[in-house]
Amino acid sequence: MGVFIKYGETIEGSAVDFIVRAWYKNGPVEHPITKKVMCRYTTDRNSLGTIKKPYPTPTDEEIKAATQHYHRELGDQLKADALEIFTEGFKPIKTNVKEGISGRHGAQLASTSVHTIASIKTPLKIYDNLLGHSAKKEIKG
Amino acid sequence: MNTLTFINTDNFDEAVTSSGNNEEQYGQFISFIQGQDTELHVHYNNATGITRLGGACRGDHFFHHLIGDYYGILKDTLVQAINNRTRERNYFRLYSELLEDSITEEEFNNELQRNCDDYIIKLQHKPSFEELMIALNASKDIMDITSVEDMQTAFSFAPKELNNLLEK
Repeated sequence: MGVFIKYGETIEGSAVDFIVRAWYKNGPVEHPITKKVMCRYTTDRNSLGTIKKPYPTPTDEEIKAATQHYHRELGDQLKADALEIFTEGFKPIKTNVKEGISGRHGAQLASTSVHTIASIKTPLKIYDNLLGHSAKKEIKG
Repeated sequence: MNTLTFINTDNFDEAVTSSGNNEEQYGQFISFIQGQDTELHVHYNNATGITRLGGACRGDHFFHHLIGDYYGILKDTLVQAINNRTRERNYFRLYSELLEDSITEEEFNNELQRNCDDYIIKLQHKPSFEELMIALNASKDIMDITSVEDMQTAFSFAPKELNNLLEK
């Protein structure tokens, strides 16, 4: 059971609980690794995701290799400002708004009971160097 | 100075700088284009009517500018983002029909499976460096794109291919 806070950290479960301040539905996406159609969500402002039921390690060797960095233990948690979440199926899950959760005002609670993959979002600013906003940028011909 | 000869960018810089000092004398126009990934100098000599240019840029997108297909890449990249936003809109339009009981859940699922390209975003595109730069620059001004994951979904970039490109 671990707590993960770095950009890109991912948990995968058969059931995952989320506590977030802002929860946005984004429509279905074909997940790039599992190739399943999954509903995508993004969250913002204090996001916590906890595995309540583990997901078994994939048997497909290609998927297993591509997801070897996924955390699948019971109790594994993502703690971040913003998460990207995928839940299997065509219909989005519903959230419940609850006030006064551990100092968070008006937090939204969501519990999934389907295959769920959640990752900590990586801010676009990380690519500023690529755009040349870093002082280290130089072009050598 | 009626002619400029430059072999590399250092030589060009020196030549442009020295000719710039004689701008009044020789009526030369100098323009510098310096973007985030491009350092390009264009020198027009209005005495001879000859334009010379030189510099360096990352990737080959300036080449695409020269041969005229840059705007094709730009168009295709932006159209992909618009179409993905349309897919999201189509999905929520269909979902609202389900919530209003205008359609059954079976009809909802059947419609998504039958016409999946109208509703489901796929993350399969292997972006070129030029497409990535277009997406990164556009993402600053597109609503609701604040992360790499948002950008990937908007432009249908395959995450693994994007990581490979960035590692180069």
